[in-house]
Amino acid sequence: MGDAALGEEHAAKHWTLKLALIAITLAILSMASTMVGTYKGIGPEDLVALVKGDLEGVEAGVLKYRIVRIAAAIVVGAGLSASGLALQFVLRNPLADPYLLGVSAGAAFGVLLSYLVAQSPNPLLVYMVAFISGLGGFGAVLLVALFMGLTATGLIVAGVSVSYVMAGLSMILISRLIERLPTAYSWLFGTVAYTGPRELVYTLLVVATGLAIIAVLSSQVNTLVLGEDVSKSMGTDPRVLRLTIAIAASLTSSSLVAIAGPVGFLGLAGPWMARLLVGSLFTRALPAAILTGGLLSLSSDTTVRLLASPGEIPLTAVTALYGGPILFYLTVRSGRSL
Amino acid sequence: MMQGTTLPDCDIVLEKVSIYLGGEGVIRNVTVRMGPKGFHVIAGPNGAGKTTLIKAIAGVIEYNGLIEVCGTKPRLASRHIAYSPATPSYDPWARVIDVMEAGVYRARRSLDPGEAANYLKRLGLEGYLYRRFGELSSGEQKLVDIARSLARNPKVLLLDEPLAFLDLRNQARIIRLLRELSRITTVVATMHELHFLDFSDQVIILDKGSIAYAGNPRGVPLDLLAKIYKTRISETVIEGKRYILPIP
Repeated sequence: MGDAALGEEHAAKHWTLKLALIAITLAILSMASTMVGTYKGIGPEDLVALVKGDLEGVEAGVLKYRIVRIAAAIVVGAGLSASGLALQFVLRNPLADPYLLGVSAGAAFGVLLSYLVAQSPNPLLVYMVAFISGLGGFGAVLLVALFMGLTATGLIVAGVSVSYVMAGLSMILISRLIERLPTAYSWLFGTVAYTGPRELVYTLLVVATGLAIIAVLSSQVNTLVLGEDVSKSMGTDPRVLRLTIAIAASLTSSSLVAIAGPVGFLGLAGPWMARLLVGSLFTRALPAAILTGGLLSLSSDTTVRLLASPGEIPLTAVTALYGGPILFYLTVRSGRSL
Repeated sequence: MMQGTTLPDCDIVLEKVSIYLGGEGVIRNVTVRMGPKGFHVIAGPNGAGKTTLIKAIAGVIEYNGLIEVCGTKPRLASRHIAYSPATPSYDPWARVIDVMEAGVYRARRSLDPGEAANYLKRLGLEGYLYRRFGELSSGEQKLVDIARSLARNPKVLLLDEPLAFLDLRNQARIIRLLRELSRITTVVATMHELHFLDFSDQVIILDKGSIAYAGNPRGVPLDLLAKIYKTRISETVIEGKRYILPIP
């Protein structure tokens, strides 16, 4: 018990303040981010004009594109972060992330297959294929895990092994379609540059459903830090809880992978930033993870536009470059025994 | 959830309870009643079925026969029950406050940090509220978990080896606390510390899954204990209390 512990005490008491600060930063960054990109002619007055409904010409087109892109970035970050947090709790594994249960490997395989079958698949087709094959990957993991009694370890082992099998199949597909790879490539590394407004709306509906399920169950998920026996003694059913959360998290992340590809690290860095900021009570960490994930994702995509335009850098590259050091700093700051 | 001013007393009734784990009979045909109120100790050698029995009463594992807690099945009485496992294997990154807040699920609406600190204080844990569970010693983790159990305001308190890992001062503290609680709560504890048997109201001795003795702690025959534990056992009386001890 020293200064460090007192500091944590202070920190824990002001968790609502922290969340408010992150939310305000996210709002300011969202507005500033509309002015970042290849086209430099957008200013604050254009935002006002767009709200009033009298913005026309190039500015209107560019601004609308950027708003979709910003919204996509936030939703991707928030959704992956919340799903990752939920899976860390129900699988009782600090390294769990939303892709652990086969979603990204399944989606990647499906999308590559669609490029092989159709010469140049349209965006809506790619979206649908990614969403459905992402869920298919999760379904395969669930099936394998059933043989191990749906335990936490069973789900993790099934997730890793099924993902490897599908990644192997994907590699074979890649070698078959090497000349058409440039278009598939941008999806495979993750980006919100090509997210269409229609697909974004579909995804929003799915993410809202997934997060609502997780939020409703959050006080039950809380009890899982105490282990399955104690949680069960309080009247929960850990097996059903784990299954329901796994389904909600995989539904959410499949729909996100469908608009942005398998963007990496958000689902692991977002939850941990949240846990290190507000502690490991799930009901508190969930809103925090939504905000930290959204902020990390939008900061990363704004940086992509700032540095790479004209052109693109994979979003995963930047989330990792930002998220890694931030996570490292928070870990060192928050204590000795992590 | 609302209840009148007079809370019902909660007893625990077991009738012909048998439990099979991996096809093997771990608990065989156990019939016993505990409470309402009182301090009930479940003793017996390693592997006798103590943990299995307390888990069944806590609603954690399946059983054959009848178990009633507060007049209903254990799973339906969960908001009246607090269960503390022998070795709490909690998320090492969770802080003590997280553990305690998560622990009141279904028993009460919320637990503010001040109240949590009061429960910790009763166990001699001042300034522990924001420490991480993983950085505590085994004994401290036990004490935190007993504080977490108390925060549920349970009518039935089920403790698996509450004295394990504790130093002498804390062992005495827990025995005093359990006696005090037993005036308003049905307290059940599995224990290897036979020297504290005389501080309980009822002793249940398990041998290979069956009850070898159930009743007043004063009446536990030494030769029975020696036979069950397969070792030499003696007793001494200090301040009017009987202390049973192994002779190495």
